[in-house]
Amino acid sequence: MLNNYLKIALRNICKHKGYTVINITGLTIGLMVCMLIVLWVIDELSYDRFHSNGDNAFLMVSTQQLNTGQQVVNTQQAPLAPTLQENIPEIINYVRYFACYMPISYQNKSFNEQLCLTDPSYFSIFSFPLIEGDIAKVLVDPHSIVISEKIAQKYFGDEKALGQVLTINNQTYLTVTGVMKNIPDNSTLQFEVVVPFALLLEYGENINEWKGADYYTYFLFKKDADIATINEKFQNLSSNIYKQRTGKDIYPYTISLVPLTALHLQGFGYGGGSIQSVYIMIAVAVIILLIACMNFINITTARSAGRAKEIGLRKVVGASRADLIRQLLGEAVLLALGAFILALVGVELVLPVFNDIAQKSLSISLIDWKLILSLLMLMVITGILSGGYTAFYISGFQPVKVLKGIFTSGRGGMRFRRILVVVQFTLSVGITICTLVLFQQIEYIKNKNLGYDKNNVLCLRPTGGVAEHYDSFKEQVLQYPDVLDVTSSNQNLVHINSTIGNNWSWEGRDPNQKLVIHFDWVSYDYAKTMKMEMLEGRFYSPEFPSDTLEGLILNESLVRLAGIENPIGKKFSYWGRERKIIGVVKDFHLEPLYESLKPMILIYSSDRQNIYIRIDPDYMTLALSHIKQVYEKFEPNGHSNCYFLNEAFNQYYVDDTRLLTIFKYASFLTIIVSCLGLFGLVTYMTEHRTREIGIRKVLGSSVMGIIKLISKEFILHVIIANVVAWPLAFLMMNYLLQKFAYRENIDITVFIAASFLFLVITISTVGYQAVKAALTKPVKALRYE
Amino acid sequence: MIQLRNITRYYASGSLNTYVLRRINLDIREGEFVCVMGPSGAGKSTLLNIIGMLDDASEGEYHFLDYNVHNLKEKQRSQLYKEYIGFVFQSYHLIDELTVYENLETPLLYKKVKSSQRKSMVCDTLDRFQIVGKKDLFPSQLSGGQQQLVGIARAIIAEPKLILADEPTGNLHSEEGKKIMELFTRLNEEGVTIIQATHSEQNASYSKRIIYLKDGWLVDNL
Repeated sequence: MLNNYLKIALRNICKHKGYTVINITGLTIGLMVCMLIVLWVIDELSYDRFHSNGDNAFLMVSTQQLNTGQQVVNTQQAPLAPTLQENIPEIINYVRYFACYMPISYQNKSFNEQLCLTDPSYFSIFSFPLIEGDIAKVLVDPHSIVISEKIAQKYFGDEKALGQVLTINNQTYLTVTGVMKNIPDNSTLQFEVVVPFALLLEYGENINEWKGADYYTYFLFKKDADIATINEKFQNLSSNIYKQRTGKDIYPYTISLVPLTALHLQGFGYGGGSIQSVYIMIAVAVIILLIACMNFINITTARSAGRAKEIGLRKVVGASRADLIRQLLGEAVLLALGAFILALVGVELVLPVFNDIAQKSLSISLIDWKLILSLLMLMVITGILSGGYTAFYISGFQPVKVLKGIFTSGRGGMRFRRILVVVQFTLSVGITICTLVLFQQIEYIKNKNLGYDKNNVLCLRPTGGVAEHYDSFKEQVLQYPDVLDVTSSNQNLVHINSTIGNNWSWEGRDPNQKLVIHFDWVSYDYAKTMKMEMLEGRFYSPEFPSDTLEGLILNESLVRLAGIENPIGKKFSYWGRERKIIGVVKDFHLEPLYESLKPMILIYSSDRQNIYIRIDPDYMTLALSHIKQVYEKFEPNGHSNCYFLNEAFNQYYVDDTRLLTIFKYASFLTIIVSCLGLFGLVTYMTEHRTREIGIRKVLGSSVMGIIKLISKEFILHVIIANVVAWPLAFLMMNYLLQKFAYRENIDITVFIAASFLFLVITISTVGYQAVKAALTKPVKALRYE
Repeated sequence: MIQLRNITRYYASGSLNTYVLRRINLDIREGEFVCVMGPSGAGKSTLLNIIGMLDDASEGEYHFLDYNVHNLKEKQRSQLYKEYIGFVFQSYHLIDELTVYENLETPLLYKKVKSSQRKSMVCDTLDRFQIVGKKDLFPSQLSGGQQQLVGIARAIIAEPKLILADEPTGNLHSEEGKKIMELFTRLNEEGVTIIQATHSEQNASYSKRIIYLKDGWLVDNL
């Protein structure tokens, strides 16, 4: 029996090559997209699952309601964790860390590396296995350092890393006490270099003091501990400590505990990741697969008239309905299986490209049983979805009618197919509109006036010499005419997230006003280099030596929100330090555009974490080589991390840009798949109507008349699809773009453009068949019948 | 074997019913060779379809062996039909996608005959109809007469008690037609009940009993 089914299925497939190709191509594309997205989703969901304490480790996060909105702070003051542990028995352990960049050198190699300064408990709470070294001991000695395999390879090549001595900041010697296995990509914590807190003491930093809240703090709780209760204890205890220490009545923060495994999808990780993206990706996958299945159903049911005779005969020779359903479902699953195999090959082929877009290193070989199961389920669902309707539909035919030739594919069937076509096109139009809107938004962000000019600015993170001799470095670089301006600051301009909290005042401050003020330490020429505009007063200038100790620059928002009238010359104090306002800088975006403009102060400092150099765009390469020459004079062994400011800016929208890229491909593929389906359906319809067309021509219909006859209903479908798709796409985009504080208005022309595009596509798809049918000689058509 | 009581078949067309068969009463015993004659549109095919359970009567009773067919559910009827009836069509109606061998095998598959037994039954039948050499050909590669031969072979392979043949020679030239009729006679002699619908007096002469239909009425029962 199975043999018989298989034979028939294969012969049918071969007999109708065109339809088979359309069917399989559609399904293959659908499955391929689905598989890629399943891989992606599995990877997204796998973040931080490798930690054996993943379920019991939590990050402490405080949230504050401000006049300007909600502020989420995910770092704490250092002494808080030990104090909490003393008082809350559910806490087994805690770990705090603090990340910063420092130059590390070994012999003649020197690189600026990101360091993680942390408690010795780091390796017992997080699961970063050590190849060498003992987890319990690696961070005990203040002069120890743990590095990853990658870093070991970078500094020591094939030499054994354990016991080697690295120089930090050109002054401190640390001994390698452990080597970590390379950090997995799906880890939120990506520190390649881990150093004990004790080192901070040598830099005069006592972490046992209640000072800046700079430390990421994780707690390990007892198994089965009730998190809600613990959260409450955290809230009460933190509140008490705060009140005791500050003497204030109200604790402004709400404490929440975020599980380690949820960090990535809740956006606490680096480089994006959000549950929203996961949902969108799943939606895209489902839509494409749905469109592909609809194609399949459409073409197969349309062709059912062709199968009707065989099905009728099978009934005559004794087949029951169940037999037939089994056969037809089997055929569909067989096709799906074929498509599945092709898709698997396809995925393997396009995976490098996809990895590039998604910035992941996914691989089919990473397949585990969950993946196999989900892919297999996908295939079975596809087969059943595609085959199901057809099977039930055809097997219900009355054999007598079929054999008598009364059979037509039925009004009901036709209506159903029309609905499918409309749904397909609605989804395709919707995705296309979303793509265009997203594209507009990202262009808008890239071109938005930020209040400074992010283009043609080179950023350096100096490792030593340059920072020490910044002034002469600046002087020498500026001698080249292609280097326009040089300045330095502590933070990266595209994301200034340090705040002085509520710790500020001015002569006429309203004591009830809650305002968290951002700050950065900057040096001379900052405003000039960044092309910021001064609204009032002036920027720090060497002509006024008192500026450095007495002056202060505010931004427009701060002046407005604090209600300072005629600010120049007024007193303003932060952290208890009193300064005189010498200038007001026009607002610029100090955070990614998800956030609105924030109040801020710019404090003069000779901090050289970041050096910014504005280059003449006409002499880009020349300028870069000049800068390199001067840089190497100061740091013969140094490797500077250098990048362009606009790249750093774009980095914050990687997630959105990635989404756009995915949408671009998705809309392209949905269009292709939908058109395949449409083409198949039109081909079938015209074949089916050959006789009618012949008769109409004999009766005197013109070629145009025939083309209209065939195209009319499909064009109508596309119009209906557009009408349905518009509001859907609008809602979807509203949801997607709500995270942006600044967004392009959704433009009606985008909708019109997408609809027009689809009309053109439909007309060209249908038109070809329509014209072909219309030009056929009527005699031929009638004789054929 | 077959008792038809007041069998009526009509199709609703608009507000009027179009009658195809009107109050047919007919008894056919096992082993008969009956011929149904009449002009086009007289209702011959409909009568055969009702007897063959491919179609339902609008009114009336139909007894087949010990079963009241008019009361049976689709599934039971299909069971009954699989067991006892074979059909031969004017336009052969072989499955185009299957070879001669596979076409013959299909009814046995649905009867769930075991593989080895199936094989020997198909081979026997091929042998008996002298079409062994054609077993791997597709229907489109055969002449009309050969196709009908396969059609009949398929109808009898499951050893039915009743063969219904609707214009079995309608598409064949006279020499081929004659062979087919001789085949039917032989089958009838082996005990198979045969009912054939035909226009042809020549064919009718092979049967032992002739029924005339006109405008849905049974006008003569010889």
